[in-house]
Amino acid sequence: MLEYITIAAIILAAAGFTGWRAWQTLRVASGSKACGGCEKCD
Amino acid sequence: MTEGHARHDRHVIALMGNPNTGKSSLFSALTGTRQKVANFPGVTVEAKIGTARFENSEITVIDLPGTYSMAARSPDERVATDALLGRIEGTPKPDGVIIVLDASSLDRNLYIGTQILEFGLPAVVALTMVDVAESRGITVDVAKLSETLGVPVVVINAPKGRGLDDLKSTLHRTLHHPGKVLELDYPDDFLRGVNTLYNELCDLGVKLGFKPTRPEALRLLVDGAGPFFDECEEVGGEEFISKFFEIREKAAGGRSLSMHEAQTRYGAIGKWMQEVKQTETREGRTRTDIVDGILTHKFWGSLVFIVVMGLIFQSIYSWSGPLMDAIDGSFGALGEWVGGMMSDGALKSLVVDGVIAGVGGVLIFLPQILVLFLFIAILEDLGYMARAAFLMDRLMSRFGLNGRSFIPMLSGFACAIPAIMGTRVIEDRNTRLTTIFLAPFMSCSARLPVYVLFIAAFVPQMKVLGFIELQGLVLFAMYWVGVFAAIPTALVLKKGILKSKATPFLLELPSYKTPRLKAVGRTLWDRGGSFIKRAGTIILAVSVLVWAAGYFPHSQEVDDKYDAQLAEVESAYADSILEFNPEEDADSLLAQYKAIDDAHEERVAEAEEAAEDDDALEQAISESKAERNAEMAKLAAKSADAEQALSHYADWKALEERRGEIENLRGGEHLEDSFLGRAGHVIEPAVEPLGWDWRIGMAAIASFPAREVIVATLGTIFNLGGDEDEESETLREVVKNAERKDGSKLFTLATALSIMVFFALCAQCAATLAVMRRETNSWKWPIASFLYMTVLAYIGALVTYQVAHALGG
Ligand SMILES: Nc1nc2c(ncn2[C@@H]2O[C@H](COP(=O)(O)OP(=O)(O)O)[C@@H](O)[C@H]2O)c(=O)[nH]1
Ligand SMILES: [Mg+2]
Repeated sequence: MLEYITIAAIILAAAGFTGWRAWQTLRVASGSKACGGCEKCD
Repeated sequence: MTEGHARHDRHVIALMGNPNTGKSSLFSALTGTRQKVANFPGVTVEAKIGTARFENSEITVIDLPGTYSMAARSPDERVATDALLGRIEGTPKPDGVIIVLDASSLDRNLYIGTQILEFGLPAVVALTMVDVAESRGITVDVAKLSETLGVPVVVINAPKGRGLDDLKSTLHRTLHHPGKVLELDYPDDFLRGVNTLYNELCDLGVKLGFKPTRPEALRLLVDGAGPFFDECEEVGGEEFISKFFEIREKAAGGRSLSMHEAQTRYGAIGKWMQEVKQTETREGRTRTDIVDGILTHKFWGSLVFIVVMGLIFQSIYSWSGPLMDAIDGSFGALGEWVGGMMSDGALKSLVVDGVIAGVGGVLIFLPQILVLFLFIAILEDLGYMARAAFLMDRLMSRFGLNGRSFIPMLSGFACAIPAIMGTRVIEDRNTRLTTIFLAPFMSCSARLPVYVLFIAAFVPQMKVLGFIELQGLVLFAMYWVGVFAAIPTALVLKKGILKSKATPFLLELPSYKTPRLKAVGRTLWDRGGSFIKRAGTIILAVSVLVWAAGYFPHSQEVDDKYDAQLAEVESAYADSILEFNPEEDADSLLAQYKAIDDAHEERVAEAEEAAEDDDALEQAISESKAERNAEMAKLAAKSADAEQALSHYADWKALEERRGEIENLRGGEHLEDSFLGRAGHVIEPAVEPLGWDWRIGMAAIASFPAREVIVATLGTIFNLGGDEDEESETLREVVKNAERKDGSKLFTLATALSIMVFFALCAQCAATLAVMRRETNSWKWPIASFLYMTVLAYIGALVTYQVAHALGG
């Protein structure tokens, strides 16, 4: 049980992070973020 | 210190001047801000802000993008003007300016210098590169220059920390005096035009929402286009436009307005220079001239360029190979170790198959990234890249591209995003769009791991012509795939939808400098750091998600089925071992056989390390096999028991093999049955013609957030799918041994080449598309780019696979 809760938490965190990054990318696209996405100022 | 007098002076100053004159170095020296400084024109794209202190005053310093003129045509130049006038939101209005002039090309630097001085802000000239000028026999009379321009001139050398105190105190004094407007002798008609337009603009000012200035009127008059013109057209309408063109025609007097401007400026500069500058006439050409003559020569220069680049790619292989193997091996060992510590189950699979196989699979390419950027950083700092740019400039103008496109394109080899942002220096809109469209074709560093993995696994390690490593050669070729695809694309765009006439471009050749350890180290640190950061963030996150999609639903039914099979073979073996009842100790006999077999395996492993080529390896293996069989036969001949033991040893070996097979089948079935597998089977028909199976197809799709993810995903998929042996194998070997369902090898040279070509050409990078949207202000371009590149990548991979396959690859 504990194992599955840990896994669910890790997956949620990964999904959350990926979602956040997608949102940041969209902000770059709309111009509200001056820079981003590249290696330099990731 | 008397409290009552502790008043704080606050000032804002802007740093302005041509690119590569030492602005950023000065900025860092004044503000102490850590910042990358490279010996390359156009490094500064966006303004940077920092704070300098002098006595009781605090000075905010703005490092503006370097431009060759204040013309309002390119966004970069407009940024410079807007920042100077304090019209950029979030950036304070400067109340003074430091004009950075390169003493070694003072004439050309003064062109923008005169433009800035016309704004009439309090100004100080910081004269840089005096050492370079001197080495070329140029001396500048600083007092005379100051007198002529009407502003103080201070000699500085920011990298060496010279003249900074003098500059600060001069600046401090100057900021407390009003500025002077530089007056040049323009032709009467021209000057009248400027004044009339200035009046008109002041009338428009209410609607514009800011107070226009006279130098802006001049710019608008001459340029007759650009963002400021658009604004005026918007608020002034037809009425303003018709007046504007009337004023222009009168001012021009039948000639070109930009000719008037250039003649006046260069006329004045030429006159000043007679007084200010002295050039020692030297016999013959300087060493720099001779070297430049070769490096920028059509034939010799290109030859040097190709040889230099070829050497870099050779070294990527020969230098980073051992280091990569070490990292690869240690990730394998880490997986083993962690696997041994955790009990079987989903969490162990997440850590071992998802995280270690995924992220570790990408991290092993750190040495290659470092070696590549070590060379690029050295060449950049040396000043060679600017020569290469000069060379390419000529080549690119053949394809209708402005030479200015080269610098952004070159940075595209690191990452397409700064490349796309770097196109802001291009004033012509169509040329800029073309360059943006082409930037992702340059092979960015995220593609490197993909190339290295497949080349290491499938391109034989051998020498061509006796000294060129084939693997390095193929890597070099991969970098050309994008370039060759970009050329026809450029031609179609420039001759078709994005026509524009070529504008001349003066590329500056900076003097050669000894590469600085610190600058090179900084680049490596930055590159390596961001690579690791990417692996630890987005790649890690996507790997976890890919693992989850590939692990679940993980049905119990499948497990039960294979558990039953396992139990069956194990009990069959247990029965047979019971019948074995030797006189001698059975265990000891079995152990002797195992020792003989292990010795054989060891010899094979050694041969794998040492063998020159595949043939030699095969021979070594068969020799070792013969030796093992002879030893086993010798042992078997000793007694009947020993003979029986041999047959039982064979049974035991078969059992081990069978167990491995069952586990692999189990992994494979879980994977096929997973969400990832089900989605994969839907897309499989689409990627089959490329020689791929669904696993490669899904890995390619999953790499949309970042290209390197394909490597991580393959690592995870093959680990999950049981396509690996018990022993810790490197990702390269896993990929080499991966099989299709019919038992044939999944990857052949043809498949590997097809994947590499696909990745060279595809637009699998979300961030690039986002930046493209922002810089073009329209979704049209990123969508077009994605579709075009994906189709091109597909066709390229298809042709590659079919041809290579037909040739027997
Ligand atoms: N020899 C010499 N090199 C300098 C001087 N000032 C700056 N540099 C070098 O010139 C190169 C370009 O400087 P940078 O600050 O990036 O110029 P920017 O493009 O104007 O910002 C760097 O390699 C600096 O180290 C100087 O006074 N003398
Ligand atoms: Mg700079």
